[in-house]
Amino acid sequence: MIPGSEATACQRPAAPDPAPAPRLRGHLHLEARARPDGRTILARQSFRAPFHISKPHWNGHTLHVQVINPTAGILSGDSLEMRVHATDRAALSVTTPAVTRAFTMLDGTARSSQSLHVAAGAFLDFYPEPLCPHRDTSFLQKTTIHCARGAQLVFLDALAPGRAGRGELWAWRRLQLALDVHLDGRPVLVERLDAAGGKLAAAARFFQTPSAWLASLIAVSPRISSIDTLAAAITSLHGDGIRLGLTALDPDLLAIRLAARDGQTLRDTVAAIRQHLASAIPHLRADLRKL
Amino acid sequence: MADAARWVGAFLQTADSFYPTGTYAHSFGLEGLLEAGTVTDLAALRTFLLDHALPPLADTDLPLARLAWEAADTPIDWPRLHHLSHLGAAMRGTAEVRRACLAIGSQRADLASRLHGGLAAEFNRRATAENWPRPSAIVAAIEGRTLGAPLEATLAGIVYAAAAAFASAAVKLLRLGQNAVHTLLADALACAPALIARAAQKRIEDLGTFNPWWDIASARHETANFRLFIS
Repeated sequence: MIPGSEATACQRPAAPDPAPAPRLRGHLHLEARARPDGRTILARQSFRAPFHISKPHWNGHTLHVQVINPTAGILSGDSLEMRVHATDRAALSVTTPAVTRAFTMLDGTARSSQSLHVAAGAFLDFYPEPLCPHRDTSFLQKTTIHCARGAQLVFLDALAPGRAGRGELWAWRRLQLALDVHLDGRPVLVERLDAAGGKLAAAARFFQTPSAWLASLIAVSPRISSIDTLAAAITSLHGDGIRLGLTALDPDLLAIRLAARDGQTLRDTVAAIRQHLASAIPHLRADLRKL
Repeated sequence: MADAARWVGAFLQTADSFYPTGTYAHSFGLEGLLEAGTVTDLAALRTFLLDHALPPLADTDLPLARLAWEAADTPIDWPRLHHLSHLGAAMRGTAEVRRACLAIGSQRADLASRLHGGLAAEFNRRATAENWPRPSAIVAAIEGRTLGAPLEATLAGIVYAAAAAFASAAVKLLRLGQNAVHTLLADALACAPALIARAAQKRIEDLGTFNPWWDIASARHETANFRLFIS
């Protein structure tokens, strides 16, 4: 080839095989502790990509930690581990700024393990944006919650049906979501979703919400189920575009399930539920700057 | 044949419609789904039963009963039975369905203890003394062991009990003929071998199910102004 001339397509060296996507083994460990003046601090923190956290911020009610994924989403082979401890009298809010995307995976699987511990007298608000599984993704997540008797917790697990804006619904290859909730050392709720998108699509059609955004909200607080007006107020949010059921699985635990026609309806309803719950759990009055 | 003659009669008694377990008073969420407009005719009932109600048995009651059956072998693993009893309660996603499962299980455990003694009596004594929940699937396994019924028959009995409970509740909730309901029940029972085979693959950490629509309907039924069934 003449120096300076451009190589034609047939003269160019063959492009090397694409390198396999990096597989991240990330972790996030947080331990929140109350200072003598009542404010909560992170006594311990450790994280590795794809986890990153914002600068913790005391908002007057809780220490707010925003968990950020700088890779924009979850890729095949990723293995994520999160452990959050709220120790005695600590008040911690953990949020994410955007939906968690489980990207298309031509093969392989990504895994996530979440472990939340809340001590007696402590409060944990786990309030992430929904999980959005993309076409052909395969994502396995196990969440284990341990609450001591006397703990307070608000936990949200929300699932988008896919990239709804582009009409991609229930298109994932496999989604396994496991949730174990223990109260005072005993299992009080065990749920397992393990299904291809098509299977959940058939269920969504049969139950007359073909593009449902689904969520479970778990609220733990001493004697929360005995507040009659609270359950009635939350239950009354059921209506056009939102199906909502509330049940008390323990005197200290409410489980609220939602099926919404779209993401905004789900977001608005969850915000309204949290406002009602704030009558029993004043830490929820914190402004987490959610739209 | 002689072995079967020893347990078949007593086993059939436990599945009889006048065996006093209180099952007749429950719809296990079906009435809530009727109120929600989801199950309103035979076709929808068929889809609900065959596609949504029975398949989760392979992830919940059937493997739970199998594990309890194995734990009840000599030497009996009582701590394991204790753990499985709590797990069986925790797998029910609404308070109403959980109470139904435990009330029926307790009634069956009391009856099995009184009628047959042996393992059933010892299980019931421990569960009562230590305040264990008594989920119906665990009790079915203990009952089957006590009677000498084989595991497969015990598990098929669980499928029958679940399908028959929905079918008998449906007769009271929908305009259905008995022939149509028994045709559906026969189709449901035909699923039993596949469900039992799938349940055999399950590990204890895999147990559980999730159907938010059914849970929502059941949860709303708890505070409905008008109810024919307790659940």
